[in-house]
Amino acid sequence: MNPAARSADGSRRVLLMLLLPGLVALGVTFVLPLLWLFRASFASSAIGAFSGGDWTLSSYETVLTDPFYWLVAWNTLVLGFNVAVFTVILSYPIALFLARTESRWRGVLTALAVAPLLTSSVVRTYGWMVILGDQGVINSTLQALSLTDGVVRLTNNSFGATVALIEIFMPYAILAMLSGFGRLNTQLEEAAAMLGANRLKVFTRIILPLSLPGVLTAALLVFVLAISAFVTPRLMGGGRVFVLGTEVYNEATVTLNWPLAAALSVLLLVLFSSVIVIYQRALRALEA
Amino acid sequence: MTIRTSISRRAAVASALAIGLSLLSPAAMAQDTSVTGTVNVIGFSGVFAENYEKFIIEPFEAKYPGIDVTYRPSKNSAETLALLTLQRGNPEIDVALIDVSVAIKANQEGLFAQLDPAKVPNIADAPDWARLDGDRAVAFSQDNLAILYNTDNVKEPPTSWNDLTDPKYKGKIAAKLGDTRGVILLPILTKLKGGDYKESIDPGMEMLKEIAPNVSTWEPAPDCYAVVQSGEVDLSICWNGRAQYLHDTQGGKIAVALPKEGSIGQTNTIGLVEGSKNKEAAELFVNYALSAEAQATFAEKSFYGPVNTKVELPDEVASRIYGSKEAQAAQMSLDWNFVADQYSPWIQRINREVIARY
Repeated sequence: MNPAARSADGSRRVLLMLLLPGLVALGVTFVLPLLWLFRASFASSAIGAFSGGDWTLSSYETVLTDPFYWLVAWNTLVLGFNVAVFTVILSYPIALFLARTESRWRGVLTALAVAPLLTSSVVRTYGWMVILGDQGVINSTLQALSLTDGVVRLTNNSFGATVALIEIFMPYAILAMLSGFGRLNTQLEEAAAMLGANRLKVFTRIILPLSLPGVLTAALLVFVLAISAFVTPRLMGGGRVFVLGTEVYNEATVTLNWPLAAALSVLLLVLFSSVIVIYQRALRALEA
Repeated sequence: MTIRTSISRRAAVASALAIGLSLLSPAAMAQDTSVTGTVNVIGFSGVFAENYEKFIIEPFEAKYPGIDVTYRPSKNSAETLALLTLQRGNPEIDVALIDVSVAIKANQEGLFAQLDPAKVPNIADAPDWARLDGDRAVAFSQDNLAILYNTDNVKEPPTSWNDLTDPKYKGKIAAKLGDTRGVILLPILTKLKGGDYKESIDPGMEMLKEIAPNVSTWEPAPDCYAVVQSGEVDLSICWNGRAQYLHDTQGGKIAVALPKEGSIGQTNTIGLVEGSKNKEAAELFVNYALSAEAQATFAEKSFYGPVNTKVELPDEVASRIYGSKEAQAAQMSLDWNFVADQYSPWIQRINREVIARY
């Protein structure tokens, strides 16, 4: 073996050694539980989910043949879609401003935009309950101004869950967009303006296409976060929002049907991965 | 000065009580050091855990100084079941306090040992319905489902389950019914409508649909007590014991209406874990937990209904556990083996036919 090959071999070994702790940690905390979850979804009884035993497809049969679970899956996708669209629309101007501003406060402003991440999403959900509740800020203002007679139901339904999720995911969307806005270049905008393009045209022909990768990444990120959300839909939905996350929780802790909960989780994973695959295909096609 | 007199008066009362107690039951003061060891108990968390440690475990340890009892609170019975399942064959838990419907599930998997009447003589005082699966878990307390109300907003407290359908409460009720609460409410409402839950719960479901338009949230957050205390809702369908405790300790914003048609209790059972390494001490503990003495104390302190047939409750305690004399006479119990099989289907019906639609 020549020295060059040996050193390449050696550096590969070093690389492997460096990766090992991370791989082991991932394997123990992520891959192993996932395999176990997969196994549990084929168990015939709650106890079988732990101790092995027989294999059966009955949980999948339940999930796939019961129209209610199709409805739940549909609700989950609709919630994810709505949240992703509105989060992106609301975050886009903020991200664009932060990316283009030359203010010396830029760092501070960016920090402010993502500061909500310092607070747990549970706390922020409770904040929204205070704002949207029957005796919350909005309802008491409306009543004080005599704009409404009774209470306007703003929470304990999917509207409340959607609103809270949008606000909670906005910092993620802003961060994802900022990192995806690398291709934005003010010189291009100036050139377009010099050639006679008005501001709208500059936006639609230059800024929007160049920022699209960031926008699409943010949309995907928020969509995936939203369809796996559990706490906010549960607290803000008043029990009326049935999504995969809440159903998994119910089956696992209330009715103790662990195999069914596992099968629903696998379904959620399948949903995730198909969305990501389709999305990345589309993204690549768009960029080509 | 005043402080000293009040202390000495309290001391006098305490010593008088102690003398009285020792005269009444000499055995209560006797100590037994023949058995030593540890008993690891897992059970409900929160106020229950506090009361249980203070009023059951501490007196037990005083009675058996050689035995050390550890109490591990668990979030819910599902978690307890998961833990017992994982530790099967090599349990680190000796005794579990667990919801009756979950106990029945655990027994299907053989997680609890059959209690020996020679070692646990107090099971003889438990009624038949409380002795599950051949004494593999025994009910020791019941917490009634009740209507809780905010004392500022509700001047005329409800007296009947029928009041829940009153349109004046539109959007003013919190009801988490996708769990044991719903499984207990259905038979109550079914009976109210003249039905029998063993034949069909349809009458109960129909009445639930009449209540549904009044419900503001099916998932009160943080819980079914706080939303009443804060005035966010007027009424809440929830457990009596905790609400009585909050009524006494937190300024009385919350109060309990025990409907005249009677109620049904969420039933807590105690089980000796199969393969327990501290069986002898654990049996003594189970026996004590099932005793009339322990259950009477726990009823008085936490307003959980006793199960032991020898317990005689003072009137004022009984009325805070079961309600009026009329309600006490109407108190119901469930055939839990029957209900355990219906648990999931009933919750599924409540979720799909009521909660998802209103």
